[in-house]
Amino acid sequence: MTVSLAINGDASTYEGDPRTSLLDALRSHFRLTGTKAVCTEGFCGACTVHVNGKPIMACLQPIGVLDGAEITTIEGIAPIDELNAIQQAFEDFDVVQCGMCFPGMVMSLSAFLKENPHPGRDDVKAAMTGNICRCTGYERIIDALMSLQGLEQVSSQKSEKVTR
Amino acid sequence: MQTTPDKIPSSPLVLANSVDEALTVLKSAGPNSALLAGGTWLMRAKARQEPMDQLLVSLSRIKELQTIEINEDAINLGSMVTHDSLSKALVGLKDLAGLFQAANKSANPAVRRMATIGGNICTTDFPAADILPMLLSLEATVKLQSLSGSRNIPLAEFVANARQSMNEELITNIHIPRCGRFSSHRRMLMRKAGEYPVANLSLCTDFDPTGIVNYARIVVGSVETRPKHWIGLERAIVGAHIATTDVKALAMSYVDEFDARDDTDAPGWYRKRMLPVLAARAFQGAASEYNRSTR
Repeated sequence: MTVSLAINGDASTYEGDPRTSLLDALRSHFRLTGTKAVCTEGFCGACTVHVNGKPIMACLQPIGVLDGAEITTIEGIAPIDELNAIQQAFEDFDVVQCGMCFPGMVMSLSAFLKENPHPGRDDVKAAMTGNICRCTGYERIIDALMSLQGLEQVSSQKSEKVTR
Repeated sequence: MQTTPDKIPSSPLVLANSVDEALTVLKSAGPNSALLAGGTWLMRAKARQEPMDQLLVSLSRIKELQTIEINEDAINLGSMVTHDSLSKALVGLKDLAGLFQAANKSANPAVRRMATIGGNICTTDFPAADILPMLLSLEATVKLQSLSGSRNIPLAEFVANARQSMNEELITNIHIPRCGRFSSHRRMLMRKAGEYPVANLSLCTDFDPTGIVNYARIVVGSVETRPKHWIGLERAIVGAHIATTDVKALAMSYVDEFDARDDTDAPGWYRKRMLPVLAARAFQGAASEYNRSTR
């Protein structure tokens, strides 16, 4: 079975076992290792990617059902050498520690902020329930998100310094 | 994908374009095959140390299984409707507040975008489902389609006999009657969100004009291996005045109906201990809505 899909805008094909998870295919076949393999059970969110614009757990999605799909990974969330607004906010607020959860955080929260440009703090927390971080205690992540109120376009946006 | 009857497909994953095609492939493939809905259970086989060697028949391309129809007297859901789609469709429907709570709070946002209603019903090895007990308390029925026809049966009957017909029938539709009652779904987790519940409780209830409970259907999930009616509490609470009844105290007399399971997330005694709390919260939620409706 040949699976034809677009990954970060590039036409791609996969001809291995279609039951292979999207996560394993991205990391092992397409060499896109920004998406992390942590729990591999859909709890931690480190493998979050966008499928047709929606954040899902790549570890739970067999690649065989994605024929014709558009996939965006952390490598493609912003143009190369640029950070999207969320990545920049995480940088500005000095949020990242070990870095394992952050690709998934960026992918989840980029989509969330696009649909909810004026979230409350509890809204952000609810959006993050599928992204587990062992290092930070979450509050600075939320602070960074809350600093981005009112931004209508988050994905692929040239980074801007934002101030509280 | 073209399939020939009686021939096992060459690919280990088939994208069925119709219910009949899915059933035909399952029949050809034999017992080492499975329907693939959202994938949130099947794709965790490795974590359960189970082999992932079945032929998978994906239902993701079958549009008729993804419909949501909301009418005044009932809602009809295709079996491939996701938790996320369902919760968005139920916003503002007060009589289905419990179903909204079950769909909206289960697992985490990304899994809710993938996990389906049909998968939640049919995954017989998953003890912590949220949607299934709520559908049971709402007395849902399911439409089962086979290669020789279709039939409609109560969901409770399907759950009791599910394993017997798994590879010959497919749930296509879930029908939920709307009777103007009050519903609530409460969950107990070890953290605030993002985990399986150690216990959950689904309630559909009604009150007479004086506030006396005149109907109660209570289904408990995640305490035993499958959802279970809390018959003792149902019988005890009908006839009680909701404003003056200590539901938690009443429920404590009936927790021993449950043979609670021990598991890595919680021991059985803790699950049972939480049930009166959940019952009180569920009735409080339903009573609040009842009080609002009578003002």
